[in-house]
Amino acid sequence: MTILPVIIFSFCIILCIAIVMLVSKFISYGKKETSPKLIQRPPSIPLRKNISIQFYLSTIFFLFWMNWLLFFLLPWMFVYQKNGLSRLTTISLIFISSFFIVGYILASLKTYKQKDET
Amino acid sequence: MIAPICFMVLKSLLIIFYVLVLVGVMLFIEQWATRFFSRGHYNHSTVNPLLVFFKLLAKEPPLSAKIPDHLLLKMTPALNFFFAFLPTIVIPWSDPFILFGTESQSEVFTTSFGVLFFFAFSSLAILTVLWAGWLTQKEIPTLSAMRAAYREISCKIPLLMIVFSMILYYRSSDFHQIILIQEKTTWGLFKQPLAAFIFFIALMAEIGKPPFDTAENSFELNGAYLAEYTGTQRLFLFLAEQVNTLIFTVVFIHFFLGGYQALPGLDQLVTSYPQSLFLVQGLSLFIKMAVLIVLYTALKFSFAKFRHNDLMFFGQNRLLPLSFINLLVVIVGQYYKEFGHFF
Repeated sequence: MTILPVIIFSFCIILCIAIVMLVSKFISYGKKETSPKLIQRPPSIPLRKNISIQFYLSTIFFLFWMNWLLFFLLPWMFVYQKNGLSRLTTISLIFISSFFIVGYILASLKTYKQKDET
Repeated sequence: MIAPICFMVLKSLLIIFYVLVLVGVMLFIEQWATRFFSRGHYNHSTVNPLLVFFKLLAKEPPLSAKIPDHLLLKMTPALNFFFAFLPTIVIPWSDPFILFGTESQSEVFTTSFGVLFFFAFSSLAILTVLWAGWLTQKEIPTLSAMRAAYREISCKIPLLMIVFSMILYYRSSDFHQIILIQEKTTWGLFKQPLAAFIFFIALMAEIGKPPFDTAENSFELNGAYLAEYTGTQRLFLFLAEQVNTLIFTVVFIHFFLGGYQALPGLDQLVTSYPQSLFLVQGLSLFIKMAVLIVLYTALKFSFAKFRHNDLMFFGQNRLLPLSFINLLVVIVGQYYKEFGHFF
């Protein structure tokens, strides 16, 4: 029950985002959506190969994961939840933590793949 | 079970609407202040934000063939908005009040560790800024997004040191307790002026207000990492920035300016008409917020912009040692207060 307000609030924000996107779609209805193949952007400055995006992305990702762990998860688990965590809270916390791990892996893979192609 | 959940959903939607209305009013005040302080150089209308809102809503974002992931490109601004809005869940807007016959807290998630929760969740939005910059596959947006992240890291650490010192000083990480202590004694601004000064400077760097907005540089680089976005994508990124400004300003008010407590003169209204508690406290909070927004704009037209390396040097070599000194002083003071001696 502890984390239920967070989940409900998250769904409410997602609902607001969906409403705004629907309204925007409705307002611009009738305009022909251009397919990705038709737009040929003029030549632009591409990313330089020596910018190690993967390094920066992964470092910052890790830093903010540690920030999350230090300032919320650990104090909550060890100081406030003296009687142990409920199952829903544990699952929610594992889900939120794994979001970072999965995001880090995906970001690393995408950057690696992009590097290969360039 | 269903009734409390419905009540929670209704309260969440009301608070989201309240925050968005406050953001709108805050933008009007900022536009007025910009016209006032720019000495005639900025001639946009005061209702410019409203016109921009409708324009962005009606625009159709183009799709480029070179973007690696179109789904992530569409999702990232919405994710940025989501993570910017999430910390509002623990911010109190007034004392507990009566809603539909039951006493209700003004925040959605009532905890005793609201401060920790707020600063943990507020760190997440910068990740989506990084993604937003990188997904454009262009140099300027990517570099500017990385600069925004570095700026945030270098100024967030002094901010968090000040937060720790305030938690130690007030002996609580609950916003309501902190505001109650200020009501009984004086505002935190008079008790911890150095902490207030460092927090204010770090806050301006955190939310990217001039003179700390080198990464965005709206006028010179057309918003840098925002440059490749338009339509609802840009709207979400823009709104996320404004919501971030609002919630950090409110946190500063809660720590140092007495929070939502009624200003002198208005507190008599609460004793005469107890039903007007939410309105009077909301009005007091709004007046304090308006003063701070006018102050941001005044500082924008008073100082030259920081260069990126100068900003990081300032954050790491000036603000950080000062914040550590403040923390040390608070620790020593609290130890002496608790035990009455040092050895």
